[in-house]
Amino acid sequence: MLEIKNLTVGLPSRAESGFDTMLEDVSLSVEAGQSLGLVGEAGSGKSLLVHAIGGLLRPPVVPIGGEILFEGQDLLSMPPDDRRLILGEELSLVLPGGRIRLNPLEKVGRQIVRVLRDHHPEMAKAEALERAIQLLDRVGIPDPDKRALAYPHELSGGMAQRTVVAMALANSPRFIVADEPTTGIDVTIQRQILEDFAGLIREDNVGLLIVTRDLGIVAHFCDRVAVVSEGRIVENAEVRTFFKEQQHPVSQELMRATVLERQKAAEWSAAAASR
Amino acid sequence: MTTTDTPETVDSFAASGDGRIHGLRRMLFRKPGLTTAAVYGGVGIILLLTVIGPSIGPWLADAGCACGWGSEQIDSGHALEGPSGTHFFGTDRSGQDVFSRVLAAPRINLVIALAATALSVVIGVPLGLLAGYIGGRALAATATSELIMRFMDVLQSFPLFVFAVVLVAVRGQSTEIVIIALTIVNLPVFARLARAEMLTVREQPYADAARILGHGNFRLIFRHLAPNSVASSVATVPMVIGFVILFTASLSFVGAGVKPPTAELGGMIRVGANNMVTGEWWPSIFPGVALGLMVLIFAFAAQDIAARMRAVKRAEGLMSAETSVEAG
Repeated sequence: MLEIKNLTVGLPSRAESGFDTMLEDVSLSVEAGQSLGLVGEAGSGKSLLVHAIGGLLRPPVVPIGGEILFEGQDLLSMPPDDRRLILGEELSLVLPGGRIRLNPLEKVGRQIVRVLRDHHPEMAKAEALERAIQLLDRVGIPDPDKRALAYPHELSGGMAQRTVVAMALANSPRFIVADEPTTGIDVTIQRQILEDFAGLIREDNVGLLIVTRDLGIVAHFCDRVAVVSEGRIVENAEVRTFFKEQQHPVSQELMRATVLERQKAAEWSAAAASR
Repeated sequence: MTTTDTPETVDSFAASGDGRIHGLRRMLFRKPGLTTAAVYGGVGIILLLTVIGPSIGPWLADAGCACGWGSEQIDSGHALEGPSGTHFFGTDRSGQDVFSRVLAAPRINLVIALAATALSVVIGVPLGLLAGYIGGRALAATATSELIMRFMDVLQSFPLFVFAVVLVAVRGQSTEIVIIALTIVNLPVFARLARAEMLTVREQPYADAARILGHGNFRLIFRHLAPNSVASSVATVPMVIGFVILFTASLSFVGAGVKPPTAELGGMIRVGANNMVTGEWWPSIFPGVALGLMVLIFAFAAQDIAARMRAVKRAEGLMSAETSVEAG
């Protein structure tokens, strides 16, 4: 469904090839009803990949080679107007950061209504608003009918992040690319949103590419995992095999870091118990 | 307030009142202090004079008051009389009542100021937004943007006064020409402000978020970018109005502004200036004080609006601080 073939992204330089590459020869594919977790250190190129999918690369950073195929159509080479019809409708992105992703001057309900009516102009305003409120409810925002009238700065960080997720879900996309969708949300809501995603995958055959730094999310919600390091995919495996044994040193390092954290947690509870 | 307090603060903000949400609005329309009330009262009086000012003199006359005069009525038998019960502010050298003229003058001054400011906003802000949005992208777009801004440089590099005087000298003395001259003078101010803000706003995370939701360029600019890019232009408007009032008066003072006998503050000061040396101060001083008050009131209004905007920005910043999670 989403297939990335030999994608290389970089910026012009005086190097021999004429480019400094930031993503090199990245190939991935996610089928409908499947979910792929993309993990890697900070600065490895995870978010850059998401930006490339969303057509957000801005000169001097340019795609140098390769294709990003969504249902067989290359998102990179298609005219922006065609891409716009797909984005937010069939292919939705969740960008990280929460509140900073919302227009500070518009009520959040209104912003969701816009997403709906931009792609479905025939939808009546009242109907769109009702749907927006349902969406807010679905991502676990209490009093959704009141919160729909709030400006982004009047929401807590977690509520803003959930609103961003609601906007991505608005038009029932068939594929979701989520970059750190649950960072900054407390764990219960995090679980609720991820389970919502999982339900979409199971029942509506939606595809999911999720960028995260939490291997726990990968273990619970993904079918496959791809590890990015320094702009390359260094490992791409079934989740089951990945957690049994990691092939690449970077993957092993990631696992070790997570394990360390767990040890730390054990240490803390021991310390707390001894007081 | 510590960072850990912030979430509760945000929630109490959101849930306050009748459940409707109005933190921002409350900040903008908070209860006015005495100074604020005085400033906006002043603006109100100026607006009122703009509407009824010229009719006050004749109206007083109709009401049987000995002090009533039309602002352009001449009584050469009583030229240069000092302030009295009949002529509160005295008369000028052609026997016109200074009081009636001071009341009548804000109309022309304010109409010119509002028209020139409105025109420079209407032309300058969109030009600046456009230049800001397309600048630094594709070659043709960057060239257009540069062209716009360098043209603004050209406009701004003229010595303002010389430019306005030349324009009036070439095209003749009329209110329209004064408005056009002042528009050209202020255009670059708004274009630059709008461009500068657009340059930062277009790179904001919510701009990218709007793009990936499939919003077109048109919607992106008009719904998301432009409204977020006009704050400093808005805050500058009252200051520019004050500046334009002063500038109109200056033009009239050198004889390049509004044509006499229309009552206009700068023109009145000019007429009276000739008599200052011989001790007849009133034809100049009263319009001078009126001019100073008008400019001062608009300067205070500008300051007040800027302060409110800062307060809102600060409040927003405070509430956002707690969510500064890393944006990939």
